[in-house]
Amino acid sequence: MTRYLLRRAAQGAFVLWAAFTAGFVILYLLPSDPVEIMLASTGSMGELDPGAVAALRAEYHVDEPFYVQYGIALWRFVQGDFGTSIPQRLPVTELIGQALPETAGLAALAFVIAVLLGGSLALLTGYLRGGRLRRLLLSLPPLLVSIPSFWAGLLLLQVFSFRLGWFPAIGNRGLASLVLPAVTLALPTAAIIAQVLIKSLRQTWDEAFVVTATAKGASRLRILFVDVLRHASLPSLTLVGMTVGNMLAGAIVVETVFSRLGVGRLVEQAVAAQDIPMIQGLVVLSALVFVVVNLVVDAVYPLLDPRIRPSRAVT
Amino acid sequence: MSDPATTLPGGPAPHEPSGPGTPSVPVGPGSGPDLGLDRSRRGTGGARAVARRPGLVLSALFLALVLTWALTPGIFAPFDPLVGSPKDKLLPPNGTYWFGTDHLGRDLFSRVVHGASLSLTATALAVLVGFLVGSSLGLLSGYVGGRFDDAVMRCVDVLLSIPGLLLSLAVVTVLGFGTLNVAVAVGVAAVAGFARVMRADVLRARTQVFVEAAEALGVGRWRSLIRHVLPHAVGSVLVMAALEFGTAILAVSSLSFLGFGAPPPAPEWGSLVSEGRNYLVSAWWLTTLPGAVIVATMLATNRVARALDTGRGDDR
Repeated sequence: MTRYLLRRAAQGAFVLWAAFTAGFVILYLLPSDPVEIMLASTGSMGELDPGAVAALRAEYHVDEPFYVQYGIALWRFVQGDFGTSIPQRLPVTELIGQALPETAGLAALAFVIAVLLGGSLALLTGYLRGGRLRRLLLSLPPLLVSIPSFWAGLLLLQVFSFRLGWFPAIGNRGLASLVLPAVTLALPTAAIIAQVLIKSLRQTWDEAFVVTATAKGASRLRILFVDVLRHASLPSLTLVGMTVGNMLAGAIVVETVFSRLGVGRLVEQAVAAQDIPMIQGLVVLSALVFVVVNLVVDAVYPLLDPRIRPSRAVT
Repeated sequence: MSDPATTLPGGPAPHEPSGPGTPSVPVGPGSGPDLGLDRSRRGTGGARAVARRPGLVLSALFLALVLTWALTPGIFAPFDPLVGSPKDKLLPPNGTYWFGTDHLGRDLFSRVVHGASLSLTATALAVLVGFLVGSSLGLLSGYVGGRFDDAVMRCVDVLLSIPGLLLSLAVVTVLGFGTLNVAVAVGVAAVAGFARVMRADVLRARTQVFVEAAEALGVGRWRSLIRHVLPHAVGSVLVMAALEFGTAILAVSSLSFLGFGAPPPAPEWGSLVSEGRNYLVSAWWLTTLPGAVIVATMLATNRVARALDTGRGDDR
C-alpha cells in the first residue's frame, strides 16, 4: 500500500511539474516580451524610466537564456514561490490563498447540487420504462449542456433576484448569495453526470445479477437502488476528477456574472491585466486540484467496488 | 469507443492489398467511415426523414439559416448594426425591431445577425486549428511510435489536466485580445483531445493487413501513412470535429463575454450578452435574446454532430 501511495505521489508531482512547464512555455516562451506586456498593462504609469525597466527585466530574468529563466522559475516553484502579481504588488500565493475559500465553498455547494440534480434525473429515467415523461427527461441533459453558464446565470438573476427578489444579486455575503451562483455552476455538471449515469444504468440492467434479483421477486425500485445504482455509479465516479476541473473553469464565468470574489475572478482580472505570474500560479493551482481530486477518487473506488483493490496488485 | 467501419462487413479492406502500382485505394474516405448516411438513404424520401427525425431536420435548417447570416449578414439584417437612432433606445421587441433595441438605439436583431459572422468565423477557425494541429500530432505520434510517441502523449495528458477555458485564457493573455486570438486560443485548448483520438485510430489502422502488405511491397513509410493509414483513421476525428463545434461556440462566446474578444462596437454573440448585463432590470431582451440564439445554435450543432456520430448515437 505504501508503495502504491508513493507511486501515486510521484505521479502527482510529475503532473504538477508538467503543468508548471506547460504554463511557463506558453506564457514566457511565446514571441512576446513579458516585461513589455506588464508595462503596457500598467498603462497609466506611462513612460517608466529605463532604470525601472532594467530592474523589472532583472527581476524576471528576461534577458537570460531560456534555460536559465526556466531554471530560476523552477527553483522558485519548488519553494512554493510564484512571484508577485504585477498590478496588485502582492505575492501570488497570498492572493490565491485569500480567494480560494470563497471558490471552494461555491464549488462544493455546486457539486452537491450537481450530484443531486444529475443523479435524480438519471434515477428517474432509469426507473421509468418509457412514455412521454421519460423522453422529456432524456432530452434535458443535451439541453443543459448547450446553455452557456453566463446566460443561465443572467436568466436566474433576472427571475430570482430582480423579479422575485428571493436572492441578493451580487456579492459574497451569506449563504443566500451563494445559491444562484452554485446552481448556475452546477447545471452543466449535472447534465454530464446525468448523461453518464443514464448510460451506465441502462447497461447495468442487463447484467446477470439484476436478472437474478428480478427472478427472486425484488421490486424494480429496490433493484434500482440496491443493485443497479451501486454498480452503475462507478463510471460517474471517474468523471468527478474532470468535473472539479470544469468547476474551476466555470467559476471564472460564474464569479464574473455574479460579481463574486474568488479564484475565478482572479483569473478574469489576471487575463484582463495580462498578469503573467498570476496566470502561471492559477494554472499550477488547477493542476494541483486535478491531482488531489484524482487521488481521492482512486481512494474511494475500492470502497464501492471490492474488485478493485490496489494492495493485492501483482508485483 | 466508437469503432467506425474497419471491421464492418461492408469494408472490403483486408482482402485487397493495394499494390504500389495500383494506387486505387480500396477504401475511399467516403465508404470507409460510416457517417450515418445509410439509414436516411434507405428511407423512401425526404418526407419520411422529416417525419421520423423532426429535431434533426429542424436543427439542420436552423444551422443553415445561421450560416447564411454569417456569410451575408447584410441581406438579413434590416438595420445598421453599429449606428442606432437615439430616440428609439431601449425599445422592447416589436414589429420593426424584432429583438428590441439597445441603449444607443441600435437594432439588436441586426447586431445578432452580424455577430454570427464574427462568432462563427472564430468558432470555425478554432475547430480548424484544433483539428489540423491535433490530428497531425496524433498521426505522427501514432505512426512514428517509440520515444516520440511517449513524449507527445505525456504532453497531451498534461494539457488535458488543465481545464480548457483556463488554457485558452493563458494563451489569450500572451497573444492579446481580439476575435482572431480568441479563436486560436480555443483551438489550442482542443489540440490535445484531437491528438489522442487520432493516435488511437492510427494505431488501430496501421496494424491492418493491407497496411502491412503495402509496406511489405515496398511502399514508402510516408506514402503508406498518407494513402493507407490516414483514410482509415480520419473518420472519428472528423466526427469529433463536428462535436467540437458546439464546445467551441461555447468557449468562444464565453471568452467574448468576459471581454477578451473584439473591442466594443463590434457585435459578437458573447459580448452582446455582456453589454446587456447593465440593463438586466429594465431591458430583459438585451441579454435573453442573443443568449437564446447561442443556445439554439449549440443545440442544433450538437444534434447534427450526434447524427453524424452513429457509432455512439442512440438518439432517442
